[in-house]
Amino acid sequence: MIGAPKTRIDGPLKVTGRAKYALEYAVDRPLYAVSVKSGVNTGTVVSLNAAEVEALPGVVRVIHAVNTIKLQPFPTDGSGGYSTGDGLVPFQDTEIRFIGQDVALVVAETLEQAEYAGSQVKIQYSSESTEADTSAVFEDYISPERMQAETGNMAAARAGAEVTVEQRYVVPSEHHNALEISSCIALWKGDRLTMYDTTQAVTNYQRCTAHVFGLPEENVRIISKFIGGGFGSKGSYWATSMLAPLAAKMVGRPVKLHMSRQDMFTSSGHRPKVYQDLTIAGRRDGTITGIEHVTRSYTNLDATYFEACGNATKMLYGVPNIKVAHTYRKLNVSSPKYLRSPGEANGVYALECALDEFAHEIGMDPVELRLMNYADKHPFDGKPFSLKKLGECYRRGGEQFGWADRNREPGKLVRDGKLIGHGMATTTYPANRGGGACTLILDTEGVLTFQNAIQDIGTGTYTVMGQIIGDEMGIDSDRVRVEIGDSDFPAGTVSGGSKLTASAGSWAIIGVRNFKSKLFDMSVAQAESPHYGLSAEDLTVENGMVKGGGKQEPLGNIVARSGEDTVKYTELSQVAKEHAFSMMGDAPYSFHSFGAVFAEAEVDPDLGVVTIPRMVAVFDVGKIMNAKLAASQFYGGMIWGYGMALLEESKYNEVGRVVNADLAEYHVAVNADIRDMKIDYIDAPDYNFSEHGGRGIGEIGATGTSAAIANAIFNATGKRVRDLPITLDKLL
Amino acid sequence: MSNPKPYNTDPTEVGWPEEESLVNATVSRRNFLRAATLAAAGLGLAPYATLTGQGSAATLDLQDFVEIETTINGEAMKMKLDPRTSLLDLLREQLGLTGAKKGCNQGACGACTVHVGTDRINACLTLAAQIDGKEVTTIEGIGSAEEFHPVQAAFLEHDGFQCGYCTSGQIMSAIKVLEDDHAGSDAEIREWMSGNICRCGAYKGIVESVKAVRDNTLDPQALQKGESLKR
Repeated sequence: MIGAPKTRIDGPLKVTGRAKYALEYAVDRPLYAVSVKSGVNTGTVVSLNAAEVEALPGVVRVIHAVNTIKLQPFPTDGSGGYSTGDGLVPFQDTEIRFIGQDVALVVAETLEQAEYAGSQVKIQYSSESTEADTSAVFEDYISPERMQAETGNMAAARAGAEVTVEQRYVVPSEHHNALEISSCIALWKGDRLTMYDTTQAVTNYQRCTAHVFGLPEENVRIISKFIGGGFGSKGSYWATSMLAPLAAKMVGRPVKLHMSRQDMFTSSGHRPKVYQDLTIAGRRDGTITGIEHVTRSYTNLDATYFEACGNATKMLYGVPNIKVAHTYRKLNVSSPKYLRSPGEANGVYALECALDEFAHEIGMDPVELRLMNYADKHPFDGKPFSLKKLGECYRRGGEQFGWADRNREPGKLVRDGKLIGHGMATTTYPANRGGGACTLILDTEGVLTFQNAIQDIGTGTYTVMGQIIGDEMGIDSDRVRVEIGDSDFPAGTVSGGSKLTASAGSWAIIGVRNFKSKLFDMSVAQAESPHYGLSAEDLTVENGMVKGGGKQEPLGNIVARSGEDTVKYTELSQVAKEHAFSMMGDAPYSFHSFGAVFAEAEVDPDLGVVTIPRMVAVFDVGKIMNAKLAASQFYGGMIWGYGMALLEESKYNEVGRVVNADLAEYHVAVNADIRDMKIDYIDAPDYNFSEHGGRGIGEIGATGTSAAIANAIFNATGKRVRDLPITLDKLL
Repeated sequence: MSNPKPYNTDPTEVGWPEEESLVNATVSRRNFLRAATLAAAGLGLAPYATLTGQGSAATLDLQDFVEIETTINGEAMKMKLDPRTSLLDLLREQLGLTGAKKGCNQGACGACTVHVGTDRINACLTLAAQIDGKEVTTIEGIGSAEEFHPVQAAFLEHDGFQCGYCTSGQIMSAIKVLEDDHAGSDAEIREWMSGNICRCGAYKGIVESVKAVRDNTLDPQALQKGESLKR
């Protein structure tokens, strides 16, 4: 059943170590490849000691710009709908654009030999690094029109305000650090390529690979049955997925490309550091009359990405005058890209802290301020929200947390020698839907197979799709076989933007409805059917039994009578083969999810050490598909918010090198960091948005939590730290 | 209504034409090793395999190799290997035991946690040569053919994972934390489980799992493996 707390169906494989991730497939006589990355951020490669390295034991080939085969570049105008990382195709010229760019690939008989040989590659460059300071974004920046928006007149709102809060908030660069390193195996059979890859977007990887290697899409097969986390790093198509097939083609054997944890800091995107200037203008009674949100950040030389921090500012509150502007400076750095809750995570952090400051300034309760400025429709286009229960989230969350007992005056509550504070924030994320397609196959036993080139990155797709499809078909979810993670299945959407379940689930439901009609049509026309001669509209399926006219029979009997082993049906959406799906623009609603996060902070006044003893969050995300798995995703998201608030920071030096590029120096939350967390949700289906009423839950936990924690720390200490992470030195 | 197979328990075993995409000209390394092990055991000899990755031995200087004898998941083995080989790479690349994961390759994440003797260790920081004469247990050696180890069952029940990549290491750590009596309180469990990073953030479920085993609250039925998982 939809909503039931069903245990993960892929769980038994995961707890026994039998779930196979990309590098774990046994292929015959593979070669091992490691990538050698550039040490400078500009100029060209002048020389490379390839011959010397090729003479080392076990080395088969050193591949680089001079000896590579030609690959096809991606269109620079964005045509084709390829979702690429930085858009670069490796080795096609000798130009260097950032530190960490792939310069050579060492292919050897064993991993040990490849790694040693890789360490012996010496590269001479035409130039030393140029300055690429990710903090120097206040000059030479650009701001294309697509990055700006205004409704009303912010200048007038500012001029007429009784109270103005104007502050700068800084969120540092962060890296996904999915625990499974992006790596892959490639093997060719003639002009057919099979890749065992780790991707959040099987269909996108298939299309991109086919393009780069000049192959028909059906000649490329991407297999990604298990993915060790993505968080945005594996949705766009990066050089990693081109290097393995390139090498395998050149050496004529399967190639296992082993990237390193350090490589993940340059080669699969990151969240860029953003300086955010927030202005809240309003009256002493709590009416907010204007919000301005201006951000300064950077992107790579090819400007493929900007962090859209202001998107939530445009819609979260019912304010007549809103201005949003993003700027970026092009730098010689590796490309920033989507990272869990891109835009919203850091944008909502800044907005919600600024609101907290405004509430403090006028002496109003932060929840009351938000309720006073509640938005019933999108301030920019005036469209009503498809379903919005945010008020209920504030109320329920406040009750569960004990918000009414909060001490409003900062720095006054002491418990066991520690300063205690309480803070809250609104959380939000847009609800997105993409296209898709699926094949449904029913056998004589009544087992329904669902095939779609979607993937399960740990979000529970295997399990949840079975529940959705079983419900719609009228059979137990255990009798749905979910086959995904393989590009040979009909095209699927990305596990990103919180949209996989809403997209694939909706298309599957439409497919099952159509398939059922087809089966009913068959049954009423089969002379031996108990439903022969009835109208197809009179039939239903319950618990695997087809019912109608007072008679019932097992669903599989329709198949058995057909004379075939199975009956098959393929549902294609009108945008099945498009990656950049968008069916949202013309809808009469604005689609967003909401929630409220409450946090308690405990701060050691002498040492500045922060702990978060408890958090409560209530989410309005439409219908919940699986209570157990949804809770895990919410908690996981909130832990990302915790890490953002207190721990995570990629430290770039002045030439754009990450100096803490490993899991020892880049701090993510560990078990000991996490104390009591409670989540709850409204569970109201949003049928304006999706067929099953769900809206998507992947990102919203990671949004809002960082602001709730920052606001709680202010309440505890009276110190407003506006640059994350809030480390102990900033509180002393 | 009969249900011939436990559908949905093993998504990789369906629709998966392995034979088509794999060039299966020779037996896989793991099968080879197993076969060698069994054959040798039958003769009363120690099994022997020259482990040179899956590549050609001709390009390697075998005189530099080190010879070790070890027991992995109860199987006695004797092997020659490149002295640079880490225990993790030996397991994953040469023995086909891919349950232990590579997350950082420098001892910071815990995804490669295995047991050597009575200790839990990071296989990525251990040279394979160091397990000479020792007994190694990996996630593949946990539980029985028919039943999950209670910690495995608890992780399932309490959803102590999402993507599953850290899970082998978490379970191997949790087993030792329980055995070594470091699960007295939530705070103690969290502290002793903090060498294992879970980037999905399943920490709450992990703590609940350890407590469920400590307090013996699992339904015995939860230990039963589905048909497709029995070995």
